[in-house]
Amino acid sequence: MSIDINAINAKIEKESEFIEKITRQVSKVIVGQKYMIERLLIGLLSDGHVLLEGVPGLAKTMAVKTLSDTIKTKFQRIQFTPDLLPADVMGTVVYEQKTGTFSVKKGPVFSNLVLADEINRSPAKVQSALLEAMQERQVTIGDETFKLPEPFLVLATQNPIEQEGTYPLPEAQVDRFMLKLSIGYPNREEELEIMRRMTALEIPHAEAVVTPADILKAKKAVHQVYIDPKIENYIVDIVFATRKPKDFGLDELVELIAFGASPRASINLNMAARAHAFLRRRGFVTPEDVRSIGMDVLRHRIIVTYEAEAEEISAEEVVRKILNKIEVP
Amino acid sequence: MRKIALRSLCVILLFIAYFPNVNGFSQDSTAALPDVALDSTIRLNAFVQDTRTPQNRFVEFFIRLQWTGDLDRYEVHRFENPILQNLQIQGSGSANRVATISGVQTAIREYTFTLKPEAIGMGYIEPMIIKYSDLATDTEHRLTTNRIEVQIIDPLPEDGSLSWPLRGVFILVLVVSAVILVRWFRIKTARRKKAAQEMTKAVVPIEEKYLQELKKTIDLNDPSLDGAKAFAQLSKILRRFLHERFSAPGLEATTSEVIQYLYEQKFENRWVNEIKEILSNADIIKFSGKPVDRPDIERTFTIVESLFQASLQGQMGPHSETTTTVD
Repeated sequence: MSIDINAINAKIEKESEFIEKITRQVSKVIVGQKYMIERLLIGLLSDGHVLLEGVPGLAKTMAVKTLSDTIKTKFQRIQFTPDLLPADVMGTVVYEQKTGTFSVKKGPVFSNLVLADEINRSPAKVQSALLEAMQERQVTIGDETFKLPEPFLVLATQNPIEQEGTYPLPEAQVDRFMLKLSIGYPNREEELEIMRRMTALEIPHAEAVVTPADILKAKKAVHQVYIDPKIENYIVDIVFATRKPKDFGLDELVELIAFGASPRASINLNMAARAHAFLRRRGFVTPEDVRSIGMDVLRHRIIVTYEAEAEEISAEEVVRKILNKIEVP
Repeated sequence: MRKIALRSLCVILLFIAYFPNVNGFSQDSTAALPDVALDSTIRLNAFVQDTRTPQNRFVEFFIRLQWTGDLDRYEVHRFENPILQNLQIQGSGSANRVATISGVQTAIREYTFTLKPEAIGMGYIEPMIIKYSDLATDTEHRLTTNRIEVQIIDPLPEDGSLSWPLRGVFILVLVVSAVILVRWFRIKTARRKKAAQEMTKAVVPIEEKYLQELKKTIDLNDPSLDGAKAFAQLSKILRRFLHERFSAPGLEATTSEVIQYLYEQKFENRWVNEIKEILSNADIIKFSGKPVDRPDIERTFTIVESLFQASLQGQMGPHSETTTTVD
C-alpha cells in the first residue's frame, strides 16, 4: 500500500491549525503546565480519558475549565464525596406529579468535558458507574439508554497526599484511563507569574476559539496520522517488555512486575502517539512520539510486586527502564 | 598452767633438735650439707618447672647442686634415674657453670630430666640420693631430694590440630581457595591476553572502523539499492558511532535525545546541525514512507563519511576535545 505522506502532512497541517489558537488562549490563563495542557489535548483528540494526580492547587481544575472555555463545550465539574450516589452522576428517573409520568433527568456526566474531582473520595459503586460510562460512552437511565455527547472527555483528579477516607481506584478501572498524568509544581519563574497574574485586578479569561465540530474533525484526522509498521512493532515491544521483561534483556524487572500492561495499553499508546504527532503538526508517528507519551500511558497499567514496593521501586521507574532499554526502530 | 607451757616448750625444742632441716618438707627442696666441709657449703635444689601440667605437655625436673669456690671442689657421683609414678623419662641432660653470686664465685651443676605425664591425676618423683665427694677433704657425702608431686591436668589442644569436622572444613576451604586461585590466575591471564588483543585492535581508530562498515554496508554502485533501507542503515551506523566514540545515547534513544546530548557536550553547532539533519531525514524516510531519491542517499552518505573523517582529524567532538590553533 503506497502512502501519500505529503497529502497526509498537508491535511494534518491544516487540521491542526487550531492547536495553536487553543494553546494561546490557555496560556493567557494558565502559567506553565504545558505538559498537562498537551496531554489534555491528546486525550481530547484520541478519545482517551485522563487521570490527573497532583497535590491541590496546581491548576488542574482551572486547566480543564479553561480548555473547555476555548472549545465552546459544555463543562461539568463533579466533586466526588463519600455520600455521592451513581444517580447523582448519571441521572435518574423522576416522577412528574403534574403529568403523572416518569421523566429522565440527566446527570452531569452528560457534558463534553467532565471533571471528576477527587474521584477516589467516592465509593466503588459511583466510580464504576462513571468508568462504565467512560468506556461505553452511553448511559442507561431507567429503560432508556442515552449516548453521551461528542466530544466526551472525562478528566479525573486524585490527591496523592491524603489516603484517609479514600477509595483507591481498582487497577482494572484505572486501566480505562488512557493517560495518567503526574502533575508537578511550577518552577520559580512560573510561580512568580502565577502570583502576579492571579492577584491582578482583572483575572484573564480564555475565549472560545474552537467549536466541537473542529474537534471532531481533528479526531478524524488523528486517525489518519500514518503509523509505520516499525513504530507499531516498537509499541508492541514496549508493551511486551512489561509482560516478559526477560525476553528484552530486562532480567532485573522480572521480580518487580506482577502484571504487565494489557492490550488496551498498545491501543492507547498507538492513539496517543498519533495525537502527539498531530499536535506537532506532523502526518506520521516517530519514536519520539511514542517515548514522549509512553510514561503517561503505561505508568498506571503496570502493577509492581510486593518486592518492588518494599524496595520502593515504582511503576514509573519500571516504565523508565523499559523505555530506556527497548531499541528504537 | 606454767607446767604445761614449759612442757610444750621442751617438746618444741626437742623437735627442732631432732629435725634440723625443716625446709625438707617443701617441694622446692634445699638440702644443706649436713657436715660442713672446710669453708665451702654445697646446696641441693630439686624442683619441677611447673607443679601443674597438661597431660600433653612435658615436665622439666631439675636437680641443682651449688657450692662456693671452684667447680672441681666436689665430684658428684653418678646417680640413677629418678623413680617416677605416672611419669616417664623422655630425656635428660646436665650442665656445669660458674657464676658470681653476691660477689662470691659459685659453681653450679645442674641435671635436667624431661618427663612425660602418663595419665591425668597426680605424678610423683620419688626422693633421690645424690652422692658426692669433697675433693679438698677427700670425704664422701650424700644429699637426698624431697618427694616431688606434679598435678597432671586435661591436655591442651595441640597447635594446628583440629577435630575431624573442622579439619574437613579446613581442607574444603583449602581446596576451594586453590580452585579460586587457579581460576583467578586463568581469568587474569585470559584478560591480559584479551587486553593485549584489544590493544592491537585499538590501533585501528573507531572512525576507520565505521568508515569501513559504511562502505561495506552501503554500496552506492549497486543499481538496486533500496533507498529507505540505506537511510535506515546510515542512521544506525551514525548513531552507533556517536555512542561508541562520544558516549552519546545509544540505539534506544530518539533523535532529539541524541541531539540534546550533543548540545550538552558543547559540540560545535555546524556538526550538531549536520547530524540533526541526517537523523531527522532518516526518521522521516523510515517512518513516513517518503520516497528517497538516489542523490539524497549519495549526499547523506558523503556527509556521514565527512563526519567520520572530521572526527578522525580531531575537528569534531565535544568542546574540550577540539583543538584549535590561533595564529
